[in-house]
Amino acid sequence: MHYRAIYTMPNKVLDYFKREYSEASFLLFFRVMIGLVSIIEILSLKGDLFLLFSPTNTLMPQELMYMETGVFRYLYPMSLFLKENGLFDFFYQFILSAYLVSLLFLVIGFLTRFSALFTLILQLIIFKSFAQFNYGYDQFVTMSLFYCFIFPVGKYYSCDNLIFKKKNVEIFFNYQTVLQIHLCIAYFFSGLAKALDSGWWNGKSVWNALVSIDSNYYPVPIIYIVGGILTVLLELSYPILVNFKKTRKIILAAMVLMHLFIALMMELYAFSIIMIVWNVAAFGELDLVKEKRNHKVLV
Amino acid sequence: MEKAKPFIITIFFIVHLVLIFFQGINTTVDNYWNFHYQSKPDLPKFLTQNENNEWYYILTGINTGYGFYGIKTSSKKYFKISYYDENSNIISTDRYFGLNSVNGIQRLGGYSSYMANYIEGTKKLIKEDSLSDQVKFRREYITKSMKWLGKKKAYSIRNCNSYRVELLTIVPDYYKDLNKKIQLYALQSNLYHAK
Repeated sequence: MHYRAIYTMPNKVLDYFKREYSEASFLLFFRVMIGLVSIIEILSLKGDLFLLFSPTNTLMPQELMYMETGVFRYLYPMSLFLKENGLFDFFYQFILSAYLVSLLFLVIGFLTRFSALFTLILQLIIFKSFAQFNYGYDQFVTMSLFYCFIFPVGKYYSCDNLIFKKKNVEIFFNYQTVLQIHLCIAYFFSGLAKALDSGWWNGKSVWNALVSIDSNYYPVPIIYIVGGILTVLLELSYPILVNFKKTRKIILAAMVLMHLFIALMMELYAFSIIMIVWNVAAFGELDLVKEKRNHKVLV
Repeated sequence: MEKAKPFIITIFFIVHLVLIFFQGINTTVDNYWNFHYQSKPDLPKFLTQNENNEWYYILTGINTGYGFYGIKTSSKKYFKISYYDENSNIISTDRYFGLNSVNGIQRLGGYSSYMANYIEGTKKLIKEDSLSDQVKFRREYITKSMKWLGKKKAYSIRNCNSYRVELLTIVPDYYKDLNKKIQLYALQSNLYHAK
């Protein structure tokens, strides 16, 4: 009995990742939304970007910005190489335009896999150059661009299809599952970390997260307490509730509301939008593209 | 080969997701231990980020925990700079250092929190050994970082003689009267010459 269970386990795991329905809507939605969110985010920073990423005008020397971060040993030699070869100014002029163009290519699905990899590398170089000014959004963009590179996001409704006359081929692997599991892990540990902090049960952490010297929004303590407990319960229960069909829509709606609240109250717009995109891409019932059958099966 | 593809892809993603899972465990346990016991946990660790595999974690973006605003959520931090003339009168004060966009100001808030944690970490190290090289380096790093934040503008103000950079934190007052003003406390305050 045990031997049989162990023997069949690898097959069960493989089956778990097998595609049961069309991945076209998921892949198209993920590619386009990640590209658009990244474009909007960097454009929203455009007026300030020279203070964070430029050859001479940054708030503090660029090396100082990534000195005490994990990327120093990668970016510092690159910076030295550029300076020694007289490419420093050209690099800063070129890299932002290249990042925007490669994001546009990703959105329209032109040389998609190459564009995704190029965008990922540029995103890391640009944003890790001011790593101390990074927050959760930047990590999620890196993850998203990595998935855009690994997932066949250019297989459907892309310029690659038109130019290279590729057929819309069905993909047997359930890439959406990867995103689903990743999101469940993220919410579970986010909920667990909050559950271990008494501040999330008595409202103090919500107070700390929300109250700023620029706002006059101080509701009665009970709102902080209820908000804190709801956040912990939502995040901890997400991996379970989202996997039941009956509760999926409810927990998804609750998560979208929570992120909208974070966007409005904490002004973390980009982070909230990318989390909503992940939720919808992973668990939203996307039927933008009708399922196509009878296509050749391909990885 | 065609038959092996699904197997290879599945294995790759399983390993990738397992790394994410263990990164979640390790960062949660580390943060919990660090906050409650001021030390690193003496527990066995599996699949941790190290010098050899770090490139993969950075490239894939999984070099992060997910306990955003989790253990030890602290109140918001702000940098404030005050420019003084030769009589020590305030010329002007600023909190944004030229940043105008909501996005840029949010990122500055993140930097303020980062520096607050860095300063707190340095204070802990000072208690252990105030003369160690690490403490010397970190002290110099804090001084230089804060100096640079106001340096350019201070040099551009004609009658500016000195400037003070402060890292402020909101003093938690959870049940405060709505009419009472929020109190701030300076975690670090450095005065620099402008010329």
